[in-house]
Amino acid sequence: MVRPVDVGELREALSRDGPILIQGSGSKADFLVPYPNDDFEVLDMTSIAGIVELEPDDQVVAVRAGTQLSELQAALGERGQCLPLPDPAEFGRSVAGYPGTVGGLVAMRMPHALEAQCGGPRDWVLGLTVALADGTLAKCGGKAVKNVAGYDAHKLMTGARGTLGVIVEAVFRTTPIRSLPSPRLSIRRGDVEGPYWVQRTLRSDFDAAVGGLGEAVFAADPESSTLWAVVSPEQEPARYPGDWAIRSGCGVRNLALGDKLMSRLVEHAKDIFDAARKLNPSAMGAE
Amino acid sequence: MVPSLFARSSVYNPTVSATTLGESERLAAELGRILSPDRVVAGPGTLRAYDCDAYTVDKSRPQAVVLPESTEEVRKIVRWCVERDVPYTPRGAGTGLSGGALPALGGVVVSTKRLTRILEIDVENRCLKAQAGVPNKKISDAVAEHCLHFAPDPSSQTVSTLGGNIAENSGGPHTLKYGVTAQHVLGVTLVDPEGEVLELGGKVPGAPGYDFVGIVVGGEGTLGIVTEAWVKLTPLPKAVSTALVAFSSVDAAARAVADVIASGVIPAALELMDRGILHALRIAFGLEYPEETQALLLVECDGDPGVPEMEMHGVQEICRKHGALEVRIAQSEAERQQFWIARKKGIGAMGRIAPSIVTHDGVIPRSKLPEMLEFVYATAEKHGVGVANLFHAGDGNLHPCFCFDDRDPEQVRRVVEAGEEIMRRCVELGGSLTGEHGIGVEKLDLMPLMFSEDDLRLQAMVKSIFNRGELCNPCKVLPNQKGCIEHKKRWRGVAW
Repeated sequence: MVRPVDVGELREALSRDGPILIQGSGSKADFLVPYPNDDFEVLDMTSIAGIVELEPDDQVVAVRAGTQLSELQAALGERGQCLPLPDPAEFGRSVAGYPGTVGGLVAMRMPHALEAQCGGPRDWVLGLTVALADGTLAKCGGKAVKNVAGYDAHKLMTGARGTLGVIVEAVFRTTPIRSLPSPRLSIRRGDVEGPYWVQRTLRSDFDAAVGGLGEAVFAADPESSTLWAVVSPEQEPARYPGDWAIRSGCGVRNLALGDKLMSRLVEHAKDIFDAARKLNPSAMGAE
Repeated sequence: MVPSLFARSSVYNPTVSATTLGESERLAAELGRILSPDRVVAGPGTLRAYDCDAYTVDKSRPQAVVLPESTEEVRKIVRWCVERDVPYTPRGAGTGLSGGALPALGGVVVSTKRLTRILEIDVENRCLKAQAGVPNKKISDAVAEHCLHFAPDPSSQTVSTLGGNIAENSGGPHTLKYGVTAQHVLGVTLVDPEGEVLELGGKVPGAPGYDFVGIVVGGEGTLGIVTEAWVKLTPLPKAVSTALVAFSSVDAAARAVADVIASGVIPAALELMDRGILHALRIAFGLEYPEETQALLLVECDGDPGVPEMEMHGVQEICRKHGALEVRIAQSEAERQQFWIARKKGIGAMGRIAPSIVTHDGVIPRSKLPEMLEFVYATAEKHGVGVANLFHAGDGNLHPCFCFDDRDPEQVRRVVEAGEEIMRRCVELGGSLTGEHGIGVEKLDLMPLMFSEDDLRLQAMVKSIFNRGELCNPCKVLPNQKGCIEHKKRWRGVAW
């Protein structure tokens, strides 16, 4: 385990050969596809933390990746701002997107119960600073709430599960608390223990999907057609046209890209960004 | 076997071939065998119409323009270009403002003019699939009866196409609340730079995997040619309240904007027009305002019944605190439309009173609006060019509009210099080189102001996921690309 305290130490850690597993607080670790052996170094990002810049009047915040989301929300809250995620204390951590660190929020891009109304990390990330596999530190995007300068590398990094670069710092557009809506969940039973199944379908299939899983569903958001259910690893819930699902606690079956083209392009992008397969080598799932 | 026009080993030489009429005709004849001959445009007169888009400072003529009607036809054209080493550039309605549709190295312009079919409307799932050449407004018109719309609304929306909006990640007045094009595109059919058809994304958003759609949207047409797209449809607001607020100084208006944003209200639109625009509107359309008016704010709030009125009340209070001369709230839909005419026709009105105009596009943090506007006026004065401002104030997205005479090289030079100074300042203040027009060729040389070499290398890596060659819309977005530097002087033509 290596826990860099600054960018210099992070780059040093990246300069060594061999695969690494990037880790924040571990809140979403069960959703990753586990590495097949123990032959990797854990890169703990939690010491690269802290708010760099908070501009409530511009509704922008720059924050280091290892910062706990709860700390960020508290600091934003004092200035009347927030990232528009459901409150985990009130609604449960699953529908709140499994809050952990800022880096994890961006890298994992988990669904949450305000997504239809407020978007997700993809929509809030204005810019990122990332460390590439070779240790190069690069910025993408910016701090402006509207910006089309250059290729949106930050969109590619958001949801890439740490496979294309290590997120070091993120700039978010924040939302005024006064305009934050409430989640409109049709099922809300609070968090349950066990392996999870998260599925999003077309609106037209949502009722069938929720009905099909019955009592297993512990949260359902009809606004974004997303359901959260406790599903054992042996179970294979019904699938619907165009839907997608992720799961936790099911090893290599946690993530199936499902689409041959997506798998091919993921490999292709990985060849460009991390040919040596150093960064989270298994996180995007097996072929 | 198709006879090769350009030997595969030889380097395509646009400077020579662009001036060789015979080659253009041979190219057109070849392409006419892929499409029907009536869907290939050649000949110097017609090709001149394709030598630039709405950014007219740089020009370069293509050798042929093709008008495909399907993804398959686009695929064939791209394959043909790749096999012969011919550069190609996609083009929508040509309303782009950074030269994205400029055929920088000549070759073939792939126009989406005939890709105008709406393919599928799925009301229940609030999405629609259309071909890339469908004008933005037609999408909203097609679903208005279901109380839905396509939210991005660039000022060019009656003509600008879905494909162009996707390429440039277009914004518009209502993106303040509803987000830019990227937030409304679910999936695309992309003919990649090698001529392979890729279906990216789909009707259900947020799928795991890399966000390739997010890269293609805003890729400025350099990552392949989008031929079809699934877009998200948004319910029309149930209630709207729209106001025009007159201020006796542009500074007061800008401070009011910053305060409205800071107060936490997110209006659907928050647009600022300065004296220069008001003057043009008065001449062009006879629109009248209180006498001492130096700036107008157009504010729109929307939402469920009751909400817009409440929000507007708050906005009004802030505006009055900043010395608003008059707050006029639209009492009818007709009056609301009239308010919007001022905003939407502003640039057109400028065009009527000046020989040439160039509209810039920069972004700054909203709290810096007053100081930035002051800088814009001072810069215009220093360079002796006229300037007017009409812009998306709520996003901090400035659009200084310079009026000049483009037949005078000296004036062109001064306008370009003033524009560059303004861009530099935007970046210094923590903003961006462009909020919605794109880098294109216009801002190539300014990219290093915002991005380091390593940052640009990261972007080049992103580009290379789709485009490793030099044929698909060459010489855009990233500065100093191989084979482009020596051509820049040629685009500028007489002015430089």
